[in-house]
Amino acid sequence: MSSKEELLKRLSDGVVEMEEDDVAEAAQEYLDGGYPAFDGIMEGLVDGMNRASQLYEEEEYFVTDVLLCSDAMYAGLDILRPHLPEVSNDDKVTGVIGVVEGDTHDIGKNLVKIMLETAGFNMIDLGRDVPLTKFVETAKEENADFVCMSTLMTTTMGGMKTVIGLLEEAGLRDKVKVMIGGGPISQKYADKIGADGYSQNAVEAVKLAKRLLNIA
Amino acid sequence: MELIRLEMTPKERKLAYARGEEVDRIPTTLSAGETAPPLYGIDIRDYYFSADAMVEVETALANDFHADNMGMGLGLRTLVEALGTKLEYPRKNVAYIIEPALKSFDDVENMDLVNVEKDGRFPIIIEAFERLQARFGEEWILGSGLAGPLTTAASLIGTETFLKATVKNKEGVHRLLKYSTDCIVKCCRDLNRRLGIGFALSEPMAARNLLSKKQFNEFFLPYLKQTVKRLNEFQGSTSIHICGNTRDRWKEVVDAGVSSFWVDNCESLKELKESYGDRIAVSGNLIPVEVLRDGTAEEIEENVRLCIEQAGDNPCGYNLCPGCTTPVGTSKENMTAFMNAAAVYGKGARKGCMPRGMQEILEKKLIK
Repeated sequence: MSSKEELLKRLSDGVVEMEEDDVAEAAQEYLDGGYPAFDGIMEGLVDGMNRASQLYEEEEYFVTDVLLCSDAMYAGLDILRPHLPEVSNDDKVTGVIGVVEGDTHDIGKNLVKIMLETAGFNMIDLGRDVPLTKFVETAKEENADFVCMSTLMTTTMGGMKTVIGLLEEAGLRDKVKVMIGGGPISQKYADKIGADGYSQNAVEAVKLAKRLLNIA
Repeated sequence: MELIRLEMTPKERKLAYARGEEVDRIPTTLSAGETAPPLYGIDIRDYYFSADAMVEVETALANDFHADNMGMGLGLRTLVEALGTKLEYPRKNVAYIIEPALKSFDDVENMDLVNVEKDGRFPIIIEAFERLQARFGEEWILGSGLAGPLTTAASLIGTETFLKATVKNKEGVHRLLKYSTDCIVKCCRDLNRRLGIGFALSEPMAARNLLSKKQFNEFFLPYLKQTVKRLNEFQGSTSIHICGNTRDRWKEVVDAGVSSFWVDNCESLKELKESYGDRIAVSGNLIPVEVLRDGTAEEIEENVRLCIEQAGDNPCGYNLCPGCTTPVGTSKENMTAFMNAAAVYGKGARKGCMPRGMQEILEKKLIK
């Protein structure tokens, strides 16, 4: 029987090395050993994903690697998560994320979601080609702290401005921070449409979210 | 703002510039195509399905801006749609992929090569090209462009699935890339025979933002080389556009045999010229959103000047154009400002020499 430390290392390494099957196996062994699921997630899976993010930031890893690391992380999460003690999501900072209507390029959005989840945010993923009103409705229903929008196309970026207007109309703009990103988006565009922030990549998006929401 | 009218036809200009003669303006292209219909009161969705609308838009662009290019682009989606990828067509916006053609890499075995006489929107596009060719063939060299093998392959199976398979199912990826290459070559060859037009390649998937150098070398380069070689058999030369960061792979792109490289505005035309300008023509790279669409006439002029200053004397030639597609919502005024700045700063252009316009402007400023 492996020790807790050995299994945590195996979970973390498995994520970094994109070994989906081994992570699932290690997660099961970890549970069978009677160790707490929470530590397995935080010190194993999330630790591995943080290392992967670091490698991505250093340009050792690329988009494909991060996607495969996250597949491995989610394979482990599927096993460990049902064994977490019941806690409400109330204390967690909640974000709504999606690709705006008219666009289905979602790799960038997926990377940002993965990194924000890894950083401890509760992310509600609306997917791609998301109707603009859906961002606002969901932010209201979920009592969200921030909204993240992305697009790769110049033709759909105007939708981000519409969402900001809709948040104002709904009286939510003061409560909800707005972050935007994607190929044609820039800090200048964020300023122009009154978004709270822009980030160039997924690693920066986590830093931006923490800064906007005053999280250390 | 009135468009500055010039003497040479785009065809005369292009041919003379290629021969190394001096021309009235640096070759200048607008990558407007599918984003232009709203300028003329036409819904983008209607444009996609009407040869009349295509001819109307191309004619209006030619009259209003007199850019050196003409012809509907096949873009990133025409071919994959013809092969079975499902697209959504919003009324006032460009189409986008909702469902890739293939469910698994094994499905490639059952796929036929494209037939441009009947598949997808090709028949409509062919009709529009025939009419444009008859009307403008004397004055313009018509052409088109389409996604290269990598972007085509990813759009047939879904980008994320494709990327993951570059690690987990290399053999499947190579089979799909081979099929994509064959379809591109057949599509271009059949259209070339029918219409006499040449094609440029677009590869947004090949940038460092999405693909590591290792993946680039393993999954893109062999197919780029093959595509260029096979297209050159009937069209002589083939150019490429890659959006995003490409600097770490310029050498490979140039070695693949492309004739011209159109880079994103995040890259430096000057560096590209200094590194490879003796082997390839350089295209680009006015900032599309912040300047061309949202900028003032002065900002556009300044950006045009900067582009020409960087690459106007490229040994193998320079073509001024935006860094990517002209964004939807760019006004006619801004497009005119772009063309006029090209006429002023790019006046008296010859391959390998800084256009005389640049010198004249400098002298005028000194006198003042």
